[in-house]
This record gives sequence, structure tokens and C-alpha cells, in this order.
Amino acid sequence: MLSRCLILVLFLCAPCIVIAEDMDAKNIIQKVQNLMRSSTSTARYTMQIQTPDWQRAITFQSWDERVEKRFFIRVLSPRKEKGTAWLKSDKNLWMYLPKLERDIRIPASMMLSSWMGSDFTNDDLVKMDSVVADYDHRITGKNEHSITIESTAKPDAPVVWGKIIHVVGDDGIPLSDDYYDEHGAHIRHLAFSEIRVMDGRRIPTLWTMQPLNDIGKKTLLKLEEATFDKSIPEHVFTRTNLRRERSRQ
Amino acid sequence: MIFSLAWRNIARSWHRSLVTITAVATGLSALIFLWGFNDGVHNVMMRNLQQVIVGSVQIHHDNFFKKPSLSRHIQQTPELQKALSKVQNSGQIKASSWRLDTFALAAGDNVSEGLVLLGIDAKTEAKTTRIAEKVDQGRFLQVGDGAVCVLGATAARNLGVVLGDDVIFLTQDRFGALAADKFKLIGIISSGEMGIDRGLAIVPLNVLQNMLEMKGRYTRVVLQIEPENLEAVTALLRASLDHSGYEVLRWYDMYPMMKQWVDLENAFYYIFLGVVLLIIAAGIMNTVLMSMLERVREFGVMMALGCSRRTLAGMVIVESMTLGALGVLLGLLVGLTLVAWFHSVGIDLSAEMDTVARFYVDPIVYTEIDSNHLWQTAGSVMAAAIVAAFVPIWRVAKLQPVEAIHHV
Repeated sequence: MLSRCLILVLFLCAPCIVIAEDMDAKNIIQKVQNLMRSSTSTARYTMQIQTPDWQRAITFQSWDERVEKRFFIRVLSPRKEKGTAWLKSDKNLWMYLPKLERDIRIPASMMLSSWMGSDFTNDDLVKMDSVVADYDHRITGKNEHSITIESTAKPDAPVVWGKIIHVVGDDGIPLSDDYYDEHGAHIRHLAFSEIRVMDGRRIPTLWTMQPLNDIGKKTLLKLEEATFDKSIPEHVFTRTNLRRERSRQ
Repeated sequence: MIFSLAWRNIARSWHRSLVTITAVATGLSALIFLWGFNDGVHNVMMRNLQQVIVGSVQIHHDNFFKKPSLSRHIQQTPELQKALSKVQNSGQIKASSWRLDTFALAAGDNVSEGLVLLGIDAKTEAKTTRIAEKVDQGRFLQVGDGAVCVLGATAARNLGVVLGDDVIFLTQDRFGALAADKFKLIGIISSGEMGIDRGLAIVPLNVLQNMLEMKGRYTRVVLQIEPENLEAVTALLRASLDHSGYEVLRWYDMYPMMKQWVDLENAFYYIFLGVVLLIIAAGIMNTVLMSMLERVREFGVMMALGCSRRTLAGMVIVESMTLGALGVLLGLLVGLTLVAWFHSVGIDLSAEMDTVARFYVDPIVYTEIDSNHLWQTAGSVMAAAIVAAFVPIWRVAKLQPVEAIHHV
């Protein structure tokens, strides 16, 4: 009788253990998001795009409000693209072209196109927060320094990737993300390095995106400065702000 | 002796011979006409595909077709010019044009669409393709145009723009930097082809070259070549360009769907014509057999006079072959006349082809026949006529003189 009870208890608990692990995995991903983006952040980045034929660097400023799922980006240099701006709000992605004084809505069909010629896509900008909610997370490996989490896309989630494998350090700082398509092919590798203290928190400041189907090409995204959890004025996330040539915030 | 006997038999009862010849000729000319119709439709489809925009052969930077990128561009290098002029001088290239194309985002007032932005030179393009004829509102590009564009009808409707509006094109230049410009919409294309109507914007070549930092650079050379020269020209170009960083692609290397469609339809046609051929063969066999049966008595008399079975059979074979050959000749004459006649007047199917007219098919079918289809058909009809004679020959060879003479 006792042994039967024991078995029953084990039976009931086995799924709980799995669920607990899944919750752990989800928590870790959530914590990484909290660390990197907080609830609001403003930051300045330099993006360096390297290809066999050319390379160039772009500096931009970003305003990110994670809870409201909206952000604003304005290019500071080079001169040719200065003032170009992006606004994501209400699931729409807008782009502003200072030369033509026009804003353009980026259609769904262009979401997978490269962002500013880099190895990041428009989709990367828009879907930043779906990493937690649109995937099922599972811990697949652990060693003394890092945890490996496999995130598989939920069946009906509107996401591009079939699977993302995150490697997170034991201090909760991400080390790398590997992106796989729905057929399981390894498409790109994102590495995080150069951990520095920014506005009181230790975060990686260099993101290296390496597409695996385009040898010789890569994009380095360097975080120059950042502030976290400062409230961002409402007018930043408006289409009127797109048209403002200079970043005044 | 066999030949003179056979010929006399044919000439003597010209009535009977005429029936056999007519059966063969009618069958063959019907088959030729059917092929003529089929080939007419197919060849027009393939010609239209090549002439509207794709061209017969395109030359790109190696691997550009699979992985288009502005860094895989071509220039008018001496080596490329040399290879081109070599075939051009032999008169096998009708026309050629240099183009530049890239993916772009087109934006109207509130919506935007991804499409192909194609830069063309109005002068050389007019000689190479017929895309200009597909403009149904406004006009096509002309020499000396500035920042103007021609859009496909569906794209224009999706963007909500009309003639005279500004369309913004947003893309990346050769160095990955953002390139955006305004183009005035001067023409709208309705080709019926979805790819063109929905996803194409055409702008002047030099304007696009400036916008993309691609001065003196192109993504493709488009050649227009007669179908009979296609393979030879391709081989010649490949020999001189394949190993120097170029790719030479025929239209069906790039867009295999239509060729596969034509091949599939031809396969159906072979089955269909095979059945028709069987029916025709049965008809021929019928006439030949009838003409034998009414002559059984005659054969019996010949055998009684000392004519061997072999001579008799040989005579019947020669008769059948002569009748078959005459029938095929007459059939060719009538069939080709039909094909030639409908090649000039055409068969108007516009009432029946309201919707298919879009898939590069013209509503008026002008018959034409490929030579290999013609000889295959004529050959099979001839073979059918001969095979049809075997049954009577076999019967003749088995005849016993006495019984034969008593045969009614």
C-alpha cells in the first residue's frame, strides 16, 4: 500500500518537476530580457557591418519601452543617413526618410529584409519581446559556468525561427544565441561579449551577429552608453517625433 | 516483275487505291493540323515569355541568379564585350540590353510594398523586349527621362497611386547604405503576368545607377535570340565566359516552369495522338484488307499459273508501301497547306480564352509545326500503313490455289 502511494506520488510529481524546470528556463530567459532591456532604456549604439566587399559603421540612439512594446531609433551618423528614424508602436513599424521628408510603414513582406544593410532584420527589431512569450523553453544542458536553454516556437506563434538555443552564464548574463529555421537548419549565431558596467549594471556591450549562410559577412553591434528605467516622455513614440530632425530627448 | 505487277494493280483499280490513299492522307493531315495547333500555342507562349521581359539568354555575374546582390554586378569589360561581339557579328543575336535591378520597398501615401526595381535603357530595351507594348495607362520610359517610373497595375493599385503621383523607392546602395528617391509615376503596365503586374517597377537605368552608386555597373545583359540559334549561342557564350566569373542562363534555366508545362502538354499530346494513330491504322488496315479479300480469286489464278507465294506476298508489300507513300505525300501536302493557311489567317479563340489569354497565350492561334513533330507523325503514319498490310500479306501467304479460285 505504502509503496503504491509512493509510486502515485512520484507519478504526480514527475510532471511537476518538468514544469518546474521549464519555469526555470522561462525565468532565465525573462531575466536576460530584464537585464538587457529593463522596462525602459535609452542607449547609443555603433553598428559595424563587415562584408567581403565593403564595410561601414552607423551610430544610432534608441529609446525602448518594453512594457508598452514600443521603441524609437534615430540614426546619428553617417551623414548620408543621419536623421533616418524608426518607430515601432501598435505593432506597426514606421521609418522616416529625412531626405524625402516622408515616413513609410514597413510592410509585413519586408520584415525579413536586412535592417540598414546589417545582418539584423526588421523582424529582429519588432519581435524583440516575443522571445519569452512565443517559445517553449527547456533547459538542455548545464555546466559550472553556463546553462543551455532550448526555446522552440509555440505551434501557432507568429515567429520566424523554429528554435533558438540560448547559452546564459551562471551570473545571468547571456553568452550566445543560435537561431534555427523551422527545418532545423542553423541560420545565424549571435555572440555577446565585452561585459561592462552601464548605468549600474553589468551587461555585455558587444553583440556579434554571424550569418552562417553568408561567409565573410558579419555585424558588430556595440553598446556605447545606456541608461535604464528612466521614464521616457510620451511624445517620443509618435509619428510627429519621426519628423523631428534632431534628437532632443 | 513484282514492281510492274504491283503498279498495274494500283493503277488498274484506281478507285480502290484512291480509297486507301485517302484514308492515309486524311489521317496524316488531321494529325499534322493538330500538331500545328499545339505547337502554335506553345511556341507563342515561349516566344512571349522571352519577348515580354525575360529575353532568351541572360548573362550575369556568377551565382547572381540564385543569390542576387549588388556586389555581384557586371561591367562592360573587354572580355565580356569580346564574347558578345563574337556572337553578335555572326548575326545570331537579334538585340541586347544592359539592365540593373534590385529589391526595393515602394511607398505610396499610407501603404508600402516590396518589389523589384528595374533600371533599363529605353533605347536598347525597345529593340530587345516588348514590355513597352504592355503599358495601358500613360506611357513607357523614353530616352532622356529623369526620375520617373512605370509600375505594374496591381502594384499601383496596392500602393494607391495614379499617374502623376510620386512613388518613393527605398533600397540599399552598393555599400549597404540606405538609398531612397522619389519617382513620378508616368505609366502603368497590365501584362496579365502576375510577377510583372504586382512586383515590378521600371525606372531609367542611369537614374538607378546614380541612386545605387552603381555608375557603369549592371546586374545583367539580356539577349534576344531566335529559338533555332539558342543552343549554339549559349554554348559559344559559355565557352568564353563560364570560367571568368559569369553565368550564361537560357530562359528556361531561369524560369523552367513554362518549358516543363510545354513538355508535359506534349507528353499528353503524344498519348492522344497515339490513340488517333491507332484509329487511323485500323482504317487503313480495313481498306487494305478489303482490297485483298476482293482479290482472293485473282490471287488463286496467279498461283495456279505458277506464281510463288513469295512473289505474291512481295507484290502485296510493294503495293501497300506505294499506297502508303502516296497517302503520306498527299497527307503532308494537305496538312502543311492547312497549317500554312491557318498560320496566316489564325484561329480566333478569343471567346473561349477569356481567362487563359493572360498566361502568355494569344487569343488568336496561328498554327505552326516543329519539324521533329512533323517527321515523327509522317513516319508513324507510314509505319502504320505498312503494319496494316501485314495481316493481308499473311493471309495471302497461306492461300491454297484451288480454294482461292473457288472463293467467291
